[in-house]
Amino acid sequence: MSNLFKNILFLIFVLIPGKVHSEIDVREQANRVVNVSHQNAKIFAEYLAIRDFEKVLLGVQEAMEKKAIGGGSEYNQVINQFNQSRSELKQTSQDLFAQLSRSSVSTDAFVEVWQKYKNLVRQRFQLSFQVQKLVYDIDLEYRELELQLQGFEKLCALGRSDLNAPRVSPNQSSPSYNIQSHYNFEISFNVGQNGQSNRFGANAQPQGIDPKDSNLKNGFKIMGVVSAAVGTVFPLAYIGVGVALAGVYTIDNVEEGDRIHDKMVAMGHQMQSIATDKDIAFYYKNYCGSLAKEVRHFVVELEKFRSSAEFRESRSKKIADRQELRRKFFEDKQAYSVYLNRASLAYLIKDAQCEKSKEIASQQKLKCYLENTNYYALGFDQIVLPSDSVKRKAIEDTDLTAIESYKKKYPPETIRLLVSDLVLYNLGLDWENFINRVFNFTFIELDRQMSAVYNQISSLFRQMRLVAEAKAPTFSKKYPSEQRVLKEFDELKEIHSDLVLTKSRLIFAEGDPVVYRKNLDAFAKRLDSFSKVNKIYPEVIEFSSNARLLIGMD
Amino acid sequence: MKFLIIALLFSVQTWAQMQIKSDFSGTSDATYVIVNEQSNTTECYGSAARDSSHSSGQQKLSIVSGNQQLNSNGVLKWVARLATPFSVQARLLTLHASGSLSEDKSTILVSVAQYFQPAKNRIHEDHCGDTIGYLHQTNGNLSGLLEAKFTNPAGSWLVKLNRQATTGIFAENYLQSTKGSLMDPHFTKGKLPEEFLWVKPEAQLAFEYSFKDLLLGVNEIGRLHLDLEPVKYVVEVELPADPPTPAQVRDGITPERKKEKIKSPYLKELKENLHSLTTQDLNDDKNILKWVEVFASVFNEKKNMAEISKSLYGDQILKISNRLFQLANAVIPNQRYGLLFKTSAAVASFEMANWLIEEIEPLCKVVTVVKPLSETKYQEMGFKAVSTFLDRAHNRVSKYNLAAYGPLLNKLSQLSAGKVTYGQANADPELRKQLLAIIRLLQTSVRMNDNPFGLASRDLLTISKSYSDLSRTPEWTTELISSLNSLGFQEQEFVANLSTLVLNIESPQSLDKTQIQIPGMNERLAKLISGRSLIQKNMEKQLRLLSLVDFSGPELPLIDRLMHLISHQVAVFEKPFRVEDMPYFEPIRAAYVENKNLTERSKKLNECLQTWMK
Repeated sequence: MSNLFKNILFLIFVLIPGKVHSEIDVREQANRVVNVSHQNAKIFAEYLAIRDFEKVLLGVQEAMEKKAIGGGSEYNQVINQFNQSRSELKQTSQDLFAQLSRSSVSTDAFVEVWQKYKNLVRQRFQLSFQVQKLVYDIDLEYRELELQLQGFEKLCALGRSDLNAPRVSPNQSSPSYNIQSHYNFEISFNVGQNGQSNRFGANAQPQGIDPKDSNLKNGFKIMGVVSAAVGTVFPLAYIGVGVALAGVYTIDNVEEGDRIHDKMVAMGHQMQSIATDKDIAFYYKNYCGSLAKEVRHFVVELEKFRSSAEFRESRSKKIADRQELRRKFFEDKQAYSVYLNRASLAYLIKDAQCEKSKEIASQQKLKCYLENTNYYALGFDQIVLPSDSVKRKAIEDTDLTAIESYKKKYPPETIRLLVSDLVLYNLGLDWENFINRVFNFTFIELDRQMSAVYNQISSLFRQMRLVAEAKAPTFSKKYPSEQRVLKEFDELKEIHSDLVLTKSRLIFAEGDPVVYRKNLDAFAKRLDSFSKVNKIYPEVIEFSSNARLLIGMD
Repeated sequence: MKFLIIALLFSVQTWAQMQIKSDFSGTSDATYVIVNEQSNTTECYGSAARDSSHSSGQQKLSIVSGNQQLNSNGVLKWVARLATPFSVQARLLTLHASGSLSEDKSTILVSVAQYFQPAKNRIHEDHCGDTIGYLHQTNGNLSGLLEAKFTNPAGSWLVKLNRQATTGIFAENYLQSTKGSLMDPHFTKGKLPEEFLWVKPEAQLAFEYSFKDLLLGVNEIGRLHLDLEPVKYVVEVELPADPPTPAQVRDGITPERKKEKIKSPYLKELKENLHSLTTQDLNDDKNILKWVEVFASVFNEKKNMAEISKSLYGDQILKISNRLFQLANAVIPNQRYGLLFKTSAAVASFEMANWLIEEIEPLCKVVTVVKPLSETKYQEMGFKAVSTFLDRAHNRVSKYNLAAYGPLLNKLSQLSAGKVTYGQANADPELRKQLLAIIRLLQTSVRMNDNPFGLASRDLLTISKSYSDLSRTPEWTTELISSLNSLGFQEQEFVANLSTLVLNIESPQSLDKTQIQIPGMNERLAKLISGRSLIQKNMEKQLRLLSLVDFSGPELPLIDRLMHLISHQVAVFEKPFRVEDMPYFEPIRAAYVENKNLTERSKKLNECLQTWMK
């Protein structure tokens, strides 16, 4: 990546149409084209990789910043709402209890109260799910961030060649509670203005780091502006694959004979070896390893920060210590994006890809145009270069020096460290306490109250059934409580069965005859009185007469 | 050009199906050059117009479908071809699809790869030289969609989706939709390596990947690997390792222990460990997922609820259902799986409550029965009428003591062992008195009960005439009545045989020298005792009302149980919540209730309860 723009310029000088002189041996020229195409593919791949790296880190940072979990103003508000709902349910429960405690409740009134109780059960159930969903959402968002980071690692392992495809950008998320996290990767060009700074700066201050520290606060604010300006407006893909074919167009149609034959052979050779999309993907993959390592480090840190209080404390201190470095980084980054885009514009100018007016450029969907004495990037009017090549060269030289210096100052490891500072800052020291607050949200008191209400309902229901049964013409009045008769009858049979067993043992001189005799007498008395009362039932009469055989055996 | 390819994989299996639908298109910019490399020999001079044969140019190539059906190897191909000035297959896109289905898991595997033709192509060759076409392609873009569909197995509500092995574009953000899941899109991000999806049984679950104008630059475009398994409690157990082979002994290698997945006794977990489970135990992901699997076993496999009902009394099921309901109402200290756990607990709790209600509900109707003692007809609520007869029949069987035959058989065994003859027994006045007394006692006893098995059979017959739903299948009622009659008959026969054996002492002298023997009588008594025990157990399990009663514990009146279930477990399922209030639970509730036809039953139950209050 270090010589990106020097190489761009080299390429331009070598390959732009018309610069290929007929004296140069065509084979040599083809070789040069091939070599340069590979160089360019590599440069482009590295550019893509570092861009993806920054994009994913800053994307995570930006998404995290919007959550405000540590400060938790929005989530705390939600918990307050839960508390409020629980209080309301308690009140409803108390009201129901009072209603049920009144001396008389009609059937209709009972049904009404019962329905209210069922609604209470539903609301209580619902509230527990809402509390649970809050912690689920928080976890889901973290998982998405981690996946986003892991997505970069996957991409590195595969390689890529395409600048425009929306790789490593997360889906839109739409959690409830109005806590939105739109992971917006739209790159807008807003150099030198702070139109969007409020949007980023207005988030709640996380706890764990002194929110009164205004320097620190400002240090965080500026980052938002810069993250929005990361990237470039120009399709550098041209460098990699398009221009490398320039050699093909150098055939002069008026040339004939051996001359053209040589050229064709050279071009055939060139076509065999010239860099393609596949080569870009290969170079991307090669370069990406070191960046993926940084991303992995970030994932591990994120997890450690969530799980270890000790790590949170030590890391938070370092975060505070690096505030000046961080502030400077985002400032530099903002400037860097200007240099980068201006260098891209310079390249397009040299490749003759600019139109003569904004209108034509728009129609042709080209990226740059000439107006008066300046070249402009379409849609990004702040990026300007003079048409005068000498003046332009001076600006280009300055830009290239600045770009090189930025690269040296901020290697991937430094970028990762500074961005992860911000992510962890937003995660906040208080994170665990917050989760515990949610987990400690209980329903003990409400459940106790509801249980009391249900007991009332249940007992009232029993009373109503008793009243209803008394009124009902069942188990008739003619035969008073046949159920009770049956119960006693079964008991007598059971005693009889036991006596038969004891007797059968006694016959063979096992057991105590005195106890048996005593039990038999008791049985006989009970059977007598039972038979007298229930002699209307044939089954009772039959049992009674047979049982007397046992009684009379001795 | 686009083609729609539908590949139906494994449509034979009845319980699940998979489908893959794909549609790809793409272009590339091709630049070509044709070069003649000819010999300069005299022979060949002028054999071809060297200059005119040179040419170069550019074309935009499009890939088109080569075949519309998966071939036998599961491959589909798309081809981009340069037709003129020379013909060559410039780019090849292949899709390889395979899948596997089993009762426990469905897997779809799709890999998509592209291949760009090497740049050098020999067009013509003879002894005077070659004509070579060079082709260079750039901007090989690709658009397309791929839809992978599963059919959820019957009975399955909760499935685990695993896509950890997915790579390339399928691992990125090109999943456009997951159709067929009951869940709000918020909960199915489509990117998580492992997700639990609620899906209606037999519904189709479709994952649609869509991408446009990707300039990938790699041959391996992506590999889609989706595993879908209905959630259930399966435990991996270690089996003993095979004995080491001589080579392993020589190399000092210990054979690895084998692992086998067995369907674990989820019922044991519910019976023994559920009540001591605390919410703190659920902090651990592994533990909470184990419990989700246990709960899902209740509602994900139809046969399991039948197993539960056979193994547990209604009271035990009620207790489990209540505990599940408590857990469904708790705040679970597990961020990731708390919602899944609560919902699984609620559904399992409802499933059990629903089973209990199904058992109780037929008892709500009013029936005409004959009173057991007075034999007069009367009308009664099913609960009471049925319980009167069933309690009585059950009491007759459970309290009947066949042990009274024991002392006599013991005595006869002793005599048989002592080789005592009938004549000797008759000659012993004490023994003779004992034997005659006991046989009279037993005969009286069995006669006067008419016997308990026969009476119990009569009770069942009487109530089954008024109330046909005594057991879940009418065959069971018939079977029980018939078994009771048969057992009663066996007992009477047993007593008759026993009497004959004993009364032989009073028989003519012909038997005087015959030794007393009791061939097979002990075994017949043992058979009677085990038959009684078995029939009691069958009554308790198969007769609806008896199956609701835990005979070992205090019984809660049926009507109170019904009231409790309707007020809690049913209450949270019977009416819709606002989706915005319950985005996770409500779609699942709605689908589940629809499946269980709860509305109808809920209405009947409310009527039933109100009948009791009037």
